[in-house]
Amino acid sequence: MKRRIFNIVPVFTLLLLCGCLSFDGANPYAKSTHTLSVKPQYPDEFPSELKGKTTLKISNRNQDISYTCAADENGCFNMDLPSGSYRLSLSYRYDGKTLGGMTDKVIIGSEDVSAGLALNISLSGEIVFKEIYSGGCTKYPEKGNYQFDAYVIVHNNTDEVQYLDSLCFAASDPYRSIATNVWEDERDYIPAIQAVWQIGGDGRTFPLKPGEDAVIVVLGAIDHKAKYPESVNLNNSSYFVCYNNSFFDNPKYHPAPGDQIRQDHILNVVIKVGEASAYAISIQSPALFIFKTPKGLTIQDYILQEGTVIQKPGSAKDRIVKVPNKWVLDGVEVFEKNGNNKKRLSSEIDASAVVFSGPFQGHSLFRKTDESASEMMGFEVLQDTNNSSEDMYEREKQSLNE
Amino acid sequence: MHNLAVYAEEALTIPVGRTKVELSAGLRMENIFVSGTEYKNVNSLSPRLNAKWTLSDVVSIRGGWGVSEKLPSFYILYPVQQYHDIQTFSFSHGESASYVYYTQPYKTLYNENLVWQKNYNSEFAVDLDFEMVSLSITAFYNKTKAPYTYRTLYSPFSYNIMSIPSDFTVPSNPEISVDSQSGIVYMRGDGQEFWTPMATKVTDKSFFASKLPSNGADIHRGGVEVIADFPEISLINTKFRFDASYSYTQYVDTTLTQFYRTGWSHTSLPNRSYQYVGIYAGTDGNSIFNGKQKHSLNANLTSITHIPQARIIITCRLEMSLFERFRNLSTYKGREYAYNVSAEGTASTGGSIYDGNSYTAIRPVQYMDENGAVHDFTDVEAADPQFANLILKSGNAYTFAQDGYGAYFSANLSVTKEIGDSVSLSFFANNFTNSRMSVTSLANGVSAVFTPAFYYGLTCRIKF
Repeated sequence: MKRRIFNIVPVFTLLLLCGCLSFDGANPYAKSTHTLSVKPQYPDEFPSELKGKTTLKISNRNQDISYTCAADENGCFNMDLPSGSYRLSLSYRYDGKTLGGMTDKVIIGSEDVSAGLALNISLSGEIVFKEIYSGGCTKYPEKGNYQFDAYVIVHNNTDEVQYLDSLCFAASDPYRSIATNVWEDERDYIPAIQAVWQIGGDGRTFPLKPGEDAVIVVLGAIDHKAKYPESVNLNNSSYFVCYNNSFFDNPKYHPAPGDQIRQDHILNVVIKVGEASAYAISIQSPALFIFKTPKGLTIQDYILQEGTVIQKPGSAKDRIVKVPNKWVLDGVEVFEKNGNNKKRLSSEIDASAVVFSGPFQGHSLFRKTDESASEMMGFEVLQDTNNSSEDMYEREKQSLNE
Repeated sequence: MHNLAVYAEEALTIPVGRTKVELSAGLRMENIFVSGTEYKNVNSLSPRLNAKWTLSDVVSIRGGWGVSEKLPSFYILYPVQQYHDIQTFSFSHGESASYVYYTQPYKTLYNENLVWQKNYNSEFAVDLDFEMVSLSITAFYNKTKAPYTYRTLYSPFSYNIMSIPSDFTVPSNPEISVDSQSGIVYMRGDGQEFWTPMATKVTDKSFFASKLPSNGADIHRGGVEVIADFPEISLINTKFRFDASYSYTQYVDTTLTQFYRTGWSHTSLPNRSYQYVGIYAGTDGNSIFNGKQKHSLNANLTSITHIPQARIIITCRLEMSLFERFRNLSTYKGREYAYNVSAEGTASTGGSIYDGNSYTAIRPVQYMDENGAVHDFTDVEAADPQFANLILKSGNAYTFAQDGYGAYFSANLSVTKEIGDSVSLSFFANNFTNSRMSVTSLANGVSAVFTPAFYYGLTCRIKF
């Protein structure tokens, strides 16, 4: 037995030395990386001289690793990457506009990969989402989880007074980013699911000063925090509330609004196209948006036009409202961490997506502040590049919990 | 409720020359003695007649006819009281919330035209015995006449949804009162204050659903069965049996059926429910077809090996689904009821729905408005967006395509060993070849495996 061991040891040593010798003078990663070539489709109106100034963000979908790659003079990107599943996003601001686009699940395996990237140009929104909280929290000190306390905060990001009157709020189909998505990647509309909500007013009733916020309670305009300290108090006279017991009468999701809620702050249901008794949004990955119809057309008149409310392909029951992209003031695409996500909002609304780590943590998605712009303008200006992976981050606690 | 059933049967044999005719007849009568139900004469009569004419040792023919009548279920005879709640008012006070509901009691409706479901069965067979081979060929026809079903009827109703008046502050310890007729909610702080009526946010008009026991369209089934028993091959102590059957089923139901999409909003008035009920030919809104057609051909080959010395019986059975075709149907007044549409719209694009390559839709035959008046649904309504919700569209382009699957097989084995006079052990292995044939739907190209994965087991029987 001992003799056998003595025979094996020199052989292993020789093999090891041969292996070491083979690295000499070579790239030690040469066999484990492959080249990703990305050729974006720039819109015609994008100035050609700027193509070489863009950068591409390459994120490993399964690890918290991301790379940035500068464009060559033609606006294309080449980078050597280890095997993995990647998300590509590009966002570039110029002349008050944003060039952006995203593609998900680019797989690099055993050979070089070429990928395209559709890009769109968009304008920054006047009213933007500042925060989205739909993920719920724990029932601490009780056991279990709680998910009936959702809200969003919208923010006037301009130096002029904006009016919330007639502002509409909706969610895109499908509810979750990992659900079957029957819609084409790039559309000129968003398929609004379940219902469209609208703030009332006569056009000048609900002003929002520059840098000012407005809370829209989606679920439960009551003081949740009184019972569950990790939740929030949504019973506040300044808050707007999605509440309509004609259509959504499930008191668990839609309890009677608290005593502080003003009747004129309760949003109207413009149209309900689903049959559920609760207006639920995804706790993992909602795609929410706000919009206003153009002057001279009300949303009520719009939905009476032929072809504006259509049946969802593949479904014999579900219908959606087609909301034109050009009406959208802001939309945020949320992806699930490690999920097989698919974009719901087109890149002209949100060039990428903000990744949410998971529900029931009391976490929210929050927009970054543009510090230099805020200092210059004298009010809080939020970062709005129409690229939520850049603009938003996951907050450890809902802002209204503090 | 008491149930009494009487059954009588008689059999006789009549010699006819060198042949003989065997006749048997039976009659079953059942009566449910029931009080408190609106249904009268809850009784049934089920006759049957069988005849066999033995022409020779080789040939005999036989036929049978029977009717079995099925009485309605207990749920139809004794409808259960049920309640439907609609939230009409809600408010918070302190840390509490209160809700007011409009409660509608309802029961399954009485249908004076309900008839008892009957199954008509008839068959004709030829039995042949020659060269130790036994062959039986049977043709059968079965009709389920007026099968029981439930239909939903809608009737318009209205109710008030209340809200807190803008100039009213909810007292910390409120008392409320609800007018049972108008639904108006009143609130006050304590017994000394005047009642304050809450504001009527909207008077909603909707439709109340009631279930009506009813009779569906007749279901027809027919087919042929062949059974062949072969003599035992003594060398291997084994005999074989082959049996095959072809069957055909079809029904089309064109009964006008109401459908209302509860939960949808009015097309123009805020906070109001959708304003129309659609009335369709034979569909309740969950599908756009009103009939089905199916053909299938199945066959089995069985070998039975008997080893008397070891007291073992080995049965091996090859089960074959040779052919299966089915299709959804849509017919009304002798014409195709559904029509082809594009993926985006609901306007007719022409052609036959049975080409199976287009999205399809149905229009209601009639519609009911908020006052309960029923109108014909015409091209004018079809072009009006407020009626667009009533046009039901298929979720795919193959709803009426010819569907079906190719052949698939599985083989089962059973070995039974008798031990003594009172114990037997059986080992079975189903699909022992683990045949997991993937068959593809003709309509949508989706593949499926219908045979179960190989599994086996042991059964022990003990007789006392």
